[in-house]
Amino acid sequence: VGKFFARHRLAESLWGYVFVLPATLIITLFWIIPSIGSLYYSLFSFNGIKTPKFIGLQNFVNYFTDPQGLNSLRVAGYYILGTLPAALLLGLVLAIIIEKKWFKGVTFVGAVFFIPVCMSYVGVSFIWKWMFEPMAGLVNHTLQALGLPGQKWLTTPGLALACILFISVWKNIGFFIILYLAALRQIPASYIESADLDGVNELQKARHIIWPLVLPTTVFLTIMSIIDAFRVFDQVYALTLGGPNHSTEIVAFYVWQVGFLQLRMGYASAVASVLLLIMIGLTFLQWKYYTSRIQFLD
Amino acid sequence: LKRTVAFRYVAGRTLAYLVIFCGVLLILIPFLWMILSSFKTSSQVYQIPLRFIPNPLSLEGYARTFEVWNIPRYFFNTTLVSLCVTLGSVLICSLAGYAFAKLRFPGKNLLFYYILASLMLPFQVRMITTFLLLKRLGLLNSYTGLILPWLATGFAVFLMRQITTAVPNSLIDAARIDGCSEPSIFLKIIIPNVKPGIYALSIITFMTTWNDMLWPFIIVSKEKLKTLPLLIASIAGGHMEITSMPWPTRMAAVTIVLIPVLILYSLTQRYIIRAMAITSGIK
Repeated sequence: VGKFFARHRLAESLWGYVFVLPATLIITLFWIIPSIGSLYYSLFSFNGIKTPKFIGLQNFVNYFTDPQGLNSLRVAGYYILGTLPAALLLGLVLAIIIEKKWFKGVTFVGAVFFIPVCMSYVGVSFIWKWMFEPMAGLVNHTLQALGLPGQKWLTTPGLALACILFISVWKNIGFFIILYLAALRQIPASYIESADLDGVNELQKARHIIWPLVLPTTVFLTIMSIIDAFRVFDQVYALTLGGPNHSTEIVAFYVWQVGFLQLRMGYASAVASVLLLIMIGLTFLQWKYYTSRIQFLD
Repeated sequence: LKRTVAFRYVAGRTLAYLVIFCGVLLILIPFLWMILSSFKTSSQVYQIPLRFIPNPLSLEGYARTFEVWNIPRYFFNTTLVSLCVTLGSVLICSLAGYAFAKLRFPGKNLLFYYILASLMLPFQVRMITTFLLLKRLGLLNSYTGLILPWLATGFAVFLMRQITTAVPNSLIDAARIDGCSEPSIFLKIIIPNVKPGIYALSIITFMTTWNDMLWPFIIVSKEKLKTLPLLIASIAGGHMEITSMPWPTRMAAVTIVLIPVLILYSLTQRYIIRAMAITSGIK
């Protein structure tokens, strides 16, 4: 009997290794090695073709002293500040409204707001590029119909970034609504009913009952959005190509630009390494939260 | 007093419906505007005063789109890559998920943390070096290059492990006593019991791959390997002759890219929304 179990344990271990092997190989080859590679190449001057030349921490010094380098992080900061509070607030308010018992058409409205979530960023950005077109775009037509002056949306420094922020909120709002809806449905009806009996108004209810109870969802969405800010590329490529005057040159786009257009791959790796450190911090936070959240599945 | 309460009640609901109505319009109008513009002629879009409905209806934009791009090829590439990535990664990651959830082998926890660590490495951080690696492997401009790196993600392994953990051990033990081998336990016991997770992961993986622009953008330059997001990318920042095309043509191209997604979404939106919720850790 002992022999049977020993052999069985051996077989189980072997199958265990066989089953995790493909995933481990791919993650090692395409995730771990390139990330270590970024750290490595960040110490070199390298154009992708010639032999890399070791230059120590010079790339990092350059990044933090180059106004355009720091600008790329600042744009990411604006992106977070400009999209996150708006998306959280709008998402929660819209979710509260459509979750009401008297509201007809939760499914339809939820589905409509979710359409842009399923579309590619580059696709929806390009539709908005046409909406914002200064001569014949619908946005300026609407403004003029209201007696307001049209704007050169995507070629005016501050406005271009504002447009990108707006499009991001527009695209992701459905995701925020769906997650908030799920959170609202977890709130026991008795909490709301007893508040109603006490004559508490909507604003107080939202502030003192709903907000604290959906806080875990808010935390999740916050961390996720901050991580997303460091991944923004498609919108900038489709709308402004980083311009006007570097005002929308967000950090991931900057990495691509210095790496692939200017062929400063060592420098680009240094920027990527800075990004990597930020990500490690953020993802750690997110993961701690996520594991505590998904345990209902166990 | 009663009247003011009733008034506030009605006013509140009207306002709520109004807000939602405006929101719905704001989501739908850009798509509508895209479709309407795609049927106009180049001069019609600049016409003042603005006319929403194209008159006469022009198919110029669509004709030109099919002339400039090999649209069926783009669809074929995108479908092929998305299907391969989805099938492959769901298989590979649910196998790994099963091993991490239910099998005992030395170094299991260490290996699991190693895979989890990859969650901290979004593509944007690895962009340059993954490109250099693919170049060295000779996989630039190849289907293998488009598919292979996405056949496993830390996230999918983690998700499948969490879901597989919920399968009762008694089912697995019973199968073992009946003499089932591990692969047949995986196929006959695990797969049927983690179906919701597999569906959700498939939907999310398929959607993400279908919509992904950055990866193909970096490793593919040959026309015959390009995927649909690259078609739009080429209108946004490609050659002058393409970026200077009239708006109706550009909108026709974007419509052709987005309409299938819109149709697929309208047929399956309940599953997609559920999948999003499951993969976000919410029931």
